[in-house]
Amino acid sequence: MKRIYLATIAAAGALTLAACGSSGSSSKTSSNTPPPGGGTTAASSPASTDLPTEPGSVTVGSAAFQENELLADIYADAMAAQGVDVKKHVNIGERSLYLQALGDGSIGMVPEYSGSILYNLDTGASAKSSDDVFAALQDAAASNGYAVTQYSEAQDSDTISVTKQTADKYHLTSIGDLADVAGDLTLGAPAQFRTRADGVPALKSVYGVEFGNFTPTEAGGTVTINALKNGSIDAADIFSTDPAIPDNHLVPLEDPKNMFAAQNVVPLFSQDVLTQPMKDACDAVSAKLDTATLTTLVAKVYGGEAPDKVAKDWLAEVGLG
Amino acid sequence: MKMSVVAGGNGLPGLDRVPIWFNDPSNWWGPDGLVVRTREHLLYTGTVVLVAALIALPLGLLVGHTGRGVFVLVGLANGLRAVPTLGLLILLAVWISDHLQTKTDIPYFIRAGGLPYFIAALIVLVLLALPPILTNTYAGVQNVDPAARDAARGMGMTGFQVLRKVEFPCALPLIMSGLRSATLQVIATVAVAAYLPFLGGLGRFIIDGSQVILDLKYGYPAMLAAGITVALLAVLADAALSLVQRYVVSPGLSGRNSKRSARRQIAILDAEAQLADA
Repeated sequence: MKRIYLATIAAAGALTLAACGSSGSSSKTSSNTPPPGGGTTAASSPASTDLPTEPGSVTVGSAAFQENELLADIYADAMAAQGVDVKKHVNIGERSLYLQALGDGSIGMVPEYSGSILYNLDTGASAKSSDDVFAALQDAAASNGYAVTQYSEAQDSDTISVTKQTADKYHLTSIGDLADVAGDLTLGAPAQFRTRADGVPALKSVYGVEFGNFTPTEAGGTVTINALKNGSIDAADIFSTDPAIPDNHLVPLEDPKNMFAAQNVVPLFSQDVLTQPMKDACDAVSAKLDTATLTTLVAKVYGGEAPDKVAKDWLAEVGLG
Repeated sequence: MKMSVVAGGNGLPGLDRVPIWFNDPSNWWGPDGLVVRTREHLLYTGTVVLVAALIALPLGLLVGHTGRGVFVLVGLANGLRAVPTLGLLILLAVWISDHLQTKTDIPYFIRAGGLPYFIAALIVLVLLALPPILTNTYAGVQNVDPAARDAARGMGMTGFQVLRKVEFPCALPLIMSGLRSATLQVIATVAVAAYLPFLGGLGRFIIDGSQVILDLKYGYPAMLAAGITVALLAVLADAALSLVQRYVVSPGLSGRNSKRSARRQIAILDAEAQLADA
């Protein structure tokens, strides 16, 4: 499998093979870029209307963090309720590992985040809004032998969050409102936020916001949330589904100009596994799930409940169990 | 993807990226470069060891001299060794930053906003550095030859004079080794300070790098490079302190033979040999 893949890449003119093979190279240059020229051989219509009608069987995988495991349980249990033969293989690891598993058939589906997976599959992608990202993702997935079903409104994206007091004091609702006051404020974000394209540079180019001071912090976590609350930092990069946001009445500032690419929850299937009943079940879940709901469910998992129980309870509640 | 982005079984960038990392001047200079981070690392370490020494030396000397409170001191020192550094660090950081609001900076040392967090790190690391200094100082004084102590008293020295002129110099080799092991421990552990906002040190590369581990500039190669630098600093600091030890410890104690005493030893050996012959 690996050899075939390597051959494909070589044929497509990826000349960095030697570097990839021996010394490793950056994720930017060696991730799975579709072959230049549009990937004519592999591309098929992303919105195939002629999926198999029998329920079929699928192994659902997940990344090694609790929210993703919860999403895997939610989609898996919803499909099982529609008669699909579902197995689970959660907690696999980081993206390169579970995509490898998806590629070699050991799993058939994994819940993904639209922006991250798009930029992983297509390093040249530039889509930012939910719709644009999803449209681009459908193509990128198809040319890699994957298929995506409808995306959910729920997003696990970066946010610039402030406390309620800070938001009230400076009348902040969206990131752009910071433009006049940010010079006196301190931003806390993971160290690489300072240099990455959708970090500090984008704050300036998209919104004209330049913070007076910057400190590396975890994205979320006790120390960061505490620093935000006691005023050590004024704004922080926190993920939108972090239960700390509702718990501490933080205000995630709106991002109307899509500085951060959309990160809608979206099921990523292996193309030859997906059936119509699986798609119907997943679409029904995606239609019901939003960021606030996901945050609440994640908080339950953080609180010690088993992800599978949280998933089943919620599915029953919304009539999908 | 089907092929991992990097070579090697563990999926991490190879070790050969480390010399490449060290060779890139942009990793050395600038406000977040290796040079500034190393300076911060050493300043933090120096401050911690200094504060720990100011507490532990008088306490250790006192207990060693009087022989009182040995049980408490040994218990305290051993208890401190069991303190979970990271847990206490976060607890103190949260607590102190809630109660001390300041944006004061100390040039070349602590960046604006970092003072509350530095105090938290300082306390935790001082607790870590206390036991070796404390126990070595106490043990050093306790192990001074009783004959030397008695002779000093017999000459009419006061208790403080005995401590200052006899016990302290005699205990110096052990005290220095306590300081050295404390310094090594702090150099290696001061990296945890980077868990806190506004603080630097070489831990910055390690903790920030772990969030983007596959990145060739900021990820695993930077973590390894920082780890190597910490190890180097530890070796250099120990060498520097051993040099200090050579100069502060009395030659009569250290066993470092001056030319004269070497000659004298040879003379003694000669004399013994002659006696044996006779």
